[in-house]
Amino acid sequence: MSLQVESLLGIIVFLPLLGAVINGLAGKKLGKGVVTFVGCATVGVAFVAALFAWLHLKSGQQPFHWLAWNWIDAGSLHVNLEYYFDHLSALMTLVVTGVGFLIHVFSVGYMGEDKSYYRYFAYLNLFMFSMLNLVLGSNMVVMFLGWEGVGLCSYLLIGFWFDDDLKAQAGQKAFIVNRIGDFGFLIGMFLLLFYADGTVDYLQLQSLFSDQAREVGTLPLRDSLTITAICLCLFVGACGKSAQIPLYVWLPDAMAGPTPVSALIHAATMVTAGVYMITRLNFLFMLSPIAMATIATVGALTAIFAATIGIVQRDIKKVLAYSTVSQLGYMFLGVGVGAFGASVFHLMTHAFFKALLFLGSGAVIHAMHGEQDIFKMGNLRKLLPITHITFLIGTIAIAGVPGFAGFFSKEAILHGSAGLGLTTDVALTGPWGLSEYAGVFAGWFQVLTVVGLVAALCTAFYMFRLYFVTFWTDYRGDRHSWDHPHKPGFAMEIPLMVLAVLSIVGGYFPVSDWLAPILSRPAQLLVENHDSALSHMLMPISITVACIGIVAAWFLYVGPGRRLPSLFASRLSWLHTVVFNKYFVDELYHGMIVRPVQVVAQALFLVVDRVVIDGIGVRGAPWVVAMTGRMIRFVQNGEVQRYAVAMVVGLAVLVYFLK
Amino acid sequence: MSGIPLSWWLTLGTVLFGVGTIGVLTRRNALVVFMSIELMLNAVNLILLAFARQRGDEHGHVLAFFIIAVAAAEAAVGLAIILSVFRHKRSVNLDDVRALKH
Repeated sequence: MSLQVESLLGIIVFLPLLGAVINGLAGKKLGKGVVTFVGCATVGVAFVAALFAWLHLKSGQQPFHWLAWNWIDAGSLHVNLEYYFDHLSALMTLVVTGVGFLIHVFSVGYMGEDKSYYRYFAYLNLFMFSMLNLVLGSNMVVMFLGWEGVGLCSYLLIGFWFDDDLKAQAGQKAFIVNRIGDFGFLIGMFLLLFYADGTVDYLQLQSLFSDQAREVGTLPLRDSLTITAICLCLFVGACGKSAQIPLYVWLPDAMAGPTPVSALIHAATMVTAGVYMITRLNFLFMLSPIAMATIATVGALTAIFAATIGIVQRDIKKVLAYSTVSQLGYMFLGVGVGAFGASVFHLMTHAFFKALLFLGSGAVIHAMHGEQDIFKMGNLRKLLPITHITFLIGTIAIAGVPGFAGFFSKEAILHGSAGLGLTTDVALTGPWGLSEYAGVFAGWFQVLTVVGLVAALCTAFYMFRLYFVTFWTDYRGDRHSWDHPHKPGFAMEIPLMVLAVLSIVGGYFPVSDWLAPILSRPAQLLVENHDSALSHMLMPISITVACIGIVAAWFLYVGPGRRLPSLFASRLSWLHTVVFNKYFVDELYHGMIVRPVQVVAQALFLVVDRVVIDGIGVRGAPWVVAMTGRMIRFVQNGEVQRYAVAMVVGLAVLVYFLK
Repeated sequence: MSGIPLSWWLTLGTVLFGVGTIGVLTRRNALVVFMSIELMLNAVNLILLAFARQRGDEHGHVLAFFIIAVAAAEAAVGLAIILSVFRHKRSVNLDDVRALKH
């Protein structure tokens, strides 16, 4: 039995790869039916396999490994292509394959008329393979393999319609911004490798940095500065992949891809990789209070920053994109304060309701013949009843209304942020490990909690603004779309319904308890701080906040205050302009980073490329050969006797000198 | 023969070799050049044999026989080439045979 269970991991990981290979190499000839079957069935079977593996784990069995093969064996460095199924990776695998399967099914309807149908499914399956490597890998190198793989697939799918120049550029932007993050991740990984006796395996790392090691004093590195540096480098990687300040800029642009891709990659799975990575390495991050506080602060700032942008966007997918950035900020706030379980909980519920919202928006866009501006929609509940109901459920879930999934997970994060304070590790040396910071952090986390609450208010407001403007009020688009909408078929509606159910019941899954076996350590490093006033008042406050946001959205966009938004926009036009243009961050980056790089690149092109490489290198080499040939060509004149003279003279000279 | 000193043989050989060399370098008729090459080979043979006699070492004789054999083979090949060239060009003048220039 145990052998079969272990080989399940191989099925989970490699079946999507098989699908990608079949569809990618032969999809053009196979026909649509076969492509659909291969694309969906491989992921579906992977999901069933994940369910079996999960049941095995749930019945009280130990986490298990599956070794594919020995990958790198160089000196003291041993890296296996090995997969590890424990409580955390089980949860991630279920979310990835489950949501992934639903989105594959949805894509059958959404992408049905695309001419590159097979290519789409090949990329999507390749993404599943990479993502499963990321979450199932038993060491950091396999995780990095998946980390790069999902980045590649993200690039391929954002630029899926590459004949549109803007979309191709969006793909490149995502790829390049991710490279910045990946660079940090790599450096962090190598630093860890260097200090942690050349091991990259999670279990070995965990035992190296375990409580016992700390108490006995055998930690591989005791310098808090180094640990902080490693953690911050890894966090830079997480910032890139999970779209946190300052590297979030690629995610809103990534909406150029097909909408199911936005749902799968840019909402549910890939962008949560950073949260997963930090949770996976929680034993390491817990050793660095500074890094944790940085993560929490960046998370909270991102949450509020993106939420304010989301309020004024007009593009349905852009609103959801900024919402995703904002919700990812919540997750980072959660891991930053040490509430790992709550973060992974929010990761899971967010995967459900944000995938639902994106797929719902996909159904809306599909019905409206590609229109994405919500102010050219309206009253769509008449046209798309099922999409309307499921979208409403998703909106309620993200807004934090009690009883729905988002409420529980968001509450858990804010509760952690208000109620936990980090202590510092006395076993560490160096200036950044001093314990007097503990009190400061506890106070600071209270501030971040308030920021989180304000972001929650914004979230409830902009999501219901989106909902009301799209599904209520009067229709403002063109007649043709209204009279002849592309009604979603079963392939699109069934995933919506399943995700809607999950968005409700997902909140009742005890994620924190489920993850307890791998998160046993934080208790030692965290002081419970439940006495704070905020902690007691949190639940009523956040419910009130959600209700205010919803009522305000109704008042301003459906109710009596319908004229107010445009009035605000004209009276405070400078503010509206700044926020609508996303605080001009893209322009700032363009001026500060992209332009200088382009100027340097142009200079290098003119000097190094044109002059040195083209001129001296490429044209110089044949010039030298030609000149040499021209100079010595008279030697070969075809007169045998001159050759003979040369030989005789040469011989004579030789004899003279050898004498 | 034993009365003739070694230096005479060497002088004769060297003179023959020099005559052959000059013939190779200066004459334009391929057949004459060919004969000059034979002259050079035989000059070398003469010197080899002279040394062999003087030193009582039969290796020189063996080498001379090899040279004669190789020269015979070379003469056969060389004459065939010259014949073939003549059929093509109606001439055995070396100045006319310079197709292999740059």
